[in-house]
Amino acid sequence: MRNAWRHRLTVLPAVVTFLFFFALPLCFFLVISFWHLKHYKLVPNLSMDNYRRVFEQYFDAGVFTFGMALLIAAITTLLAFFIAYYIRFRSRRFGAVLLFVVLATLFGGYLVKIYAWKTILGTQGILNSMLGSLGLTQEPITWLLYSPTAVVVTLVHFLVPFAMLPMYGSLRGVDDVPLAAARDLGASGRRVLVDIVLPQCQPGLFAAFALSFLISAGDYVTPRLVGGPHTFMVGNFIESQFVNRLNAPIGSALSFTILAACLATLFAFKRTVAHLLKAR
Amino acid sequence: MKQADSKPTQILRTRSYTEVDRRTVMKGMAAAGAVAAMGLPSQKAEAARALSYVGWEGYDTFLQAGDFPAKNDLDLQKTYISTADEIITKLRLDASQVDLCTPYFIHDDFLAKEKLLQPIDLSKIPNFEKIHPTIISYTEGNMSEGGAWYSVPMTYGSICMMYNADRIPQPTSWTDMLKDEYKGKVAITNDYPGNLFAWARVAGVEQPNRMTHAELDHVVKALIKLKKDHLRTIASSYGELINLLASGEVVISQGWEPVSVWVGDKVNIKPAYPKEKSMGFIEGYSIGHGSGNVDDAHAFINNALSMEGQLAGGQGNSMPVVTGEAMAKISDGNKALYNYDALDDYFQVKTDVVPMYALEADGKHATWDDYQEAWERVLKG
Repeated sequence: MRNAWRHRLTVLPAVVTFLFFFALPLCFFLVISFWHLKHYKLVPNLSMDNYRRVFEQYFDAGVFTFGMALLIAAITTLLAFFIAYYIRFRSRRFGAVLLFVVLATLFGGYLVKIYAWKTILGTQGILNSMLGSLGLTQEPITWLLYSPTAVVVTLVHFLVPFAMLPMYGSLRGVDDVPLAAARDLGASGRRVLVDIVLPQCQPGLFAAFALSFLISAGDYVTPRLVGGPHTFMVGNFIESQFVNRLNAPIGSALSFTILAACLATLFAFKRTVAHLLKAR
Repeated sequence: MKQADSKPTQILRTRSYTEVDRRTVMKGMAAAGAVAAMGLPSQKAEAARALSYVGWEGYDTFLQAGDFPAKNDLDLQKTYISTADEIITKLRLDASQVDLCTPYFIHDDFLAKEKLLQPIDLSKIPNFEKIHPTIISYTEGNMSEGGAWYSVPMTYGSICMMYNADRIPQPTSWTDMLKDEYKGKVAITNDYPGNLFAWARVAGVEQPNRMTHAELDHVVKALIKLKKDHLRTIASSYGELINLLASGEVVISQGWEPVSVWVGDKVNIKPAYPKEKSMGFIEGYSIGHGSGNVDDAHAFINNALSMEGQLAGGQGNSMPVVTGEAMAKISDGNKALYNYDALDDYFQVKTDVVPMYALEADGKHATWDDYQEAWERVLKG
């Protein structure tokens, strides 16, 4: 009994921190998402009007954002899986070095990576200069930077190390014995991957996808800096509602709508992956 | 970005050698009480008085000139903004926590009426009298309310055009951005008042801040066309615009006069004033309502208007100055950029100083929120 209380006390700081710094602010914004603004001041209310306006005004931006986030999460998860798989099963004694190299990129800051890609992808950038000097292009390729492509490239590069961590953790838990047994019994590499490896690293797959999807769907700095005039994502409009238009109720309604859609997407992803990797 | 120059004077590293129980804690408290009773000097009494500054990066140079904070035992803690509207958010959260700020001057009346700004006590700012009468005449409407000033002008400028003089001829109209030869080499900034002003003037609107809903819709369509067919990007900051102009990605853009200097000598970037005019603005310092450092805030503002303050801000940032004595003494390069002998021409021919948008819907004119919503439509379009 005394031990139980001691255990509870040890987690108390974490619970208090979670409640005060996450749950309470979230509840506050949920409540004001039903309020409205009059003369730039919050007026308590209980109306779904903000949510209606969110659907009317931001539906297209939401669809675009989700399309981008899904693409980025899919590419990131795939890349992270293959890198983690290579490190776990193929790299032998170089595994630790490779893992260190991938994780070392985490030390480069977020903005540093964005500016690095601007330097690489610009019309006067490294890539265009190289293509031009090799005679492969006559004119610089303009769509490399200030385009959705640039956002995808930058965010994938930023997110791969984060996605790789849970993936590698899952793959480390995969026992070598069943793999060897399957191969001895004549299973192809694809069969081993689909029937043994992937089902066992489902938590890692989900964590990697969720991490990259949620960060991409909420990001507003990358689209602003490398996205150009046609890549404004929902995060940009949430920021605009809170900071520029001083409209916390609509900003909150937009945030909760995106949050709900993100949770639904992740739930669908989890169910789909579980269904596809179901034991046969 | 929050800057905190002060560092803690001591760092305590703790390691537990004994079990911490009630008795140990009581002993410690008793010892601490005894030490306190002996009268150890208070750290707070020694520390410089801290004032919070919320405003544009660079505008703090005027305030701090001549090592003013150190000489007066003050510490200016800065929070730089990325849009002028952020100041309103900060003031709304708690105006008393904002000792000095640089609100967008058309917001001043609104902020004063909302009791978010402290009335300025001009007797505490003797250098106010040095401000050029032309500057006073163009700021009075926005910065004063009911006979009291709520902001003190310190610099001005306009959202004009910038162009690479080595690659293209001087533009004469905002519509030059639509020329086929500049396609994909045009940029604007995320400054919605400046953009809506410019394209409202192109559309023939006399008072861009008093557009009807139909006029605003027309301007939004023009901006979406510009964005879709001609823009390389919408620069998120002047820093980014400088990179775009310096790298040659962009040859013509919307901008602000100091950009032509900040961009450096490697490219020949110059400001241009289109025939439709540019949106002029006059920047000022304000004090948050209920600030606990009103006297020190006034002293800072007075320093910004001193000869030293004006020259430091003007020359250090390539911005114009507002006092007559600084206009006479500032560098030739600065004078060439701002031509102080023709101030009236600047505010009447080259630019327009606009009033605040309508705050209340009257069924005809677009409100401030409509303008902001219109800009979002441009971004989404």
